[in-house]
Amino acid sequence: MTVERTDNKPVGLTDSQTPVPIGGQKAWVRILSAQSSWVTVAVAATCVAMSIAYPRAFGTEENFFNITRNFSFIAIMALGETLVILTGGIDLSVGSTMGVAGVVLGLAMSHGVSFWASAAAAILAGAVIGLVNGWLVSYLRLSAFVVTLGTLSIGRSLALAISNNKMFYEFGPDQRLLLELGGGATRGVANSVWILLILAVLLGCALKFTAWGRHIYAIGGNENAARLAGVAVDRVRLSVYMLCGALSAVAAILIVGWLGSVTNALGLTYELRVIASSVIGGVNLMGGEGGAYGTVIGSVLIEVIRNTLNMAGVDPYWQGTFVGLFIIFAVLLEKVRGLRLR
Amino acid sequence: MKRHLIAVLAAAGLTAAVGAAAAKDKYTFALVPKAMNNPFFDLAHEGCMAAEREMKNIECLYIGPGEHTESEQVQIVQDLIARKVDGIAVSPSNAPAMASALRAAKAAGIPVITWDSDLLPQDKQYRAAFVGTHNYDIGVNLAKLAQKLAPNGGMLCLQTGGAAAANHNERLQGIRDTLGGRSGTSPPGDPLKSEKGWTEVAGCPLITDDDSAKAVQGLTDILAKYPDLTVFITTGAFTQWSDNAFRQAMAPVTDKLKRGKLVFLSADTLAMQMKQLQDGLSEGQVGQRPFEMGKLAMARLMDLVQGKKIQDPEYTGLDVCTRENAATCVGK
Repeated sequence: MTVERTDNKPVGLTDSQTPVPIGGQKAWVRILSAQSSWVTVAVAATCVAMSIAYPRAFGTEENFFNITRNFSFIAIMALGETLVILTGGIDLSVGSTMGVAGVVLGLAMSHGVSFWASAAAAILAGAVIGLVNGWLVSYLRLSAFVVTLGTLSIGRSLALAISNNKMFYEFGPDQRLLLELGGGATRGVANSVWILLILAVLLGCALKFTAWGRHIYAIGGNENAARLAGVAVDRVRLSVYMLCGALSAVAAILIVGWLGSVTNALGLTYELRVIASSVIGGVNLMGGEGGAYGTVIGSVLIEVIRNTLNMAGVDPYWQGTFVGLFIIFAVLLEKVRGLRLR
Repeated sequence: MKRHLIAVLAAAGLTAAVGAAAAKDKYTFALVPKAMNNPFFDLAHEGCMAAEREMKNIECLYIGPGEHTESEQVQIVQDLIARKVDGIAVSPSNAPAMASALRAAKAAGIPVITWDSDLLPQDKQYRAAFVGTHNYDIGVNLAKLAQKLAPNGGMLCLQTGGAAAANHNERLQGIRDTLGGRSGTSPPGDPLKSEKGWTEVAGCPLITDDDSAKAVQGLTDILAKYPDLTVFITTGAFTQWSDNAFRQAMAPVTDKLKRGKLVFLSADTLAMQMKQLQDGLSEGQVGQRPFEMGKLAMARLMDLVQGKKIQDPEYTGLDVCTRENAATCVGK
């Protein structure tokens, strides 16, 4: 199946597409066949059903505010993860990168450094981890899985070392700005959600309309063909890992602002939720397939499930089973969809 | 073959014990936490260092896994036994696995105590004593505060750490037994179904896996779902240590808190939790004394080395804090 796809996928295909049948494909067919569309339907159906069942608990403005804020952090990380997966790689270090960036931010701000300088340092730290990942994967041709498994461990240990195992919850003169940015709202929507929307639109456009974006799909679709076509494969790949690290740092800044404290355990095991978000949203782990919208809607689904299970009073011991079933169901959906179109 | 090995080990242990009895000028005692990245164990580390300064003839060797991993902790203890430290105080993550590792310590004549968390009852011969908190009592004290503030009972939600964490389960049991007037249960006790007016709502106990974001999100969900919730009790600090998020989560129910219609209670007495107590977000905090545990562990290992008999178990006590005594309740 993989071979078939890589063989006939033209360079430059975009969002969650399947092989184009001869004679072209109507827009509505394309939309209907995209996994992200079905996940959107699932999210909408769940929200409607829950709002009817629990109008005073689920269907409130307050609950929607909380849901959107809760998924925004994971979704921002998942945007970066999607880029990496699109090139046929994987980044397991995103949770640890979040930990390092959060600790750098906390350490700097608690020593009186301004918010903007601390945030820049945190993003730089994230990008440097991405640089190491990207360089090892692109230029030394090491397996992305193994490299980022290594940086997952290194990052967590760095977070411990940098923080000296202290919890930071006093953030110096710019504390209000940090807490407002991560925990505040603008026009009734959490600030972190606005930032997610801006990033998702920017990234969606970059993937669709720039050469860089088309090259990312090309690398994931067929790396050798992309190389022969003159794509600077290594450089594009490096940029993708760096961006993924930087986005984890952005998510770290926002979640620290919301929580109002940071420990070196920040982001522990988040890589699983991040990768699940991308996959549920239709990003193919083999590369070359998926997009920004699907990634966001994937993380929405995970959060809606979590919230729904609590609201519906499902036994907490079983909640992990439900989330796991949804992940498997999403991949199954992709398979069924593929069969139907052939 | 195995028997020979044990005999050799025992002989080695005997020599070590004799050597130790000959009074060294400096003893190395290891304090092994469950994880190094937990602020709670940091305080125990400080207590251990304080003991080192005061007792002068000991060295506090604070070593444990970076993160909470059971097997790594067992390996660390095996290493400590192999390098023949003069005493080990360990807070076992996995009690049965640790007990089998500690057999070698017994064979080598290295004195062992457990702190914070204990071995299973059937393995108690592998440690001289337990120094730490009576976790069940944390639950009992939290429940007593709840009974005082809501004498008629009501709807209750409990929040816990990992589903398999023994200390949290004992606290849950203490809460449930006290509120429901039960006895003879086993941890984590049975959910309350209108015993003495207390009913646990569906969806609880909330499991947090010690993740603060998850803890606050769970709290928010339950507060939204049950506007008539009477009491929310959490058995760890994770809900409150995200100060900003916790305050936001409690903002919609400020009025209920003020009128005493909703009561929030929690274990632990970290600095930000005490501030939240004073600000009226919480009605009570019940704290352990990790500093005392670290310090006492060193003193008791010294007693063992000197051949003294020590008490088992030795509880370090609890700090029960309400708004009235918030300024003075936290001992060290």
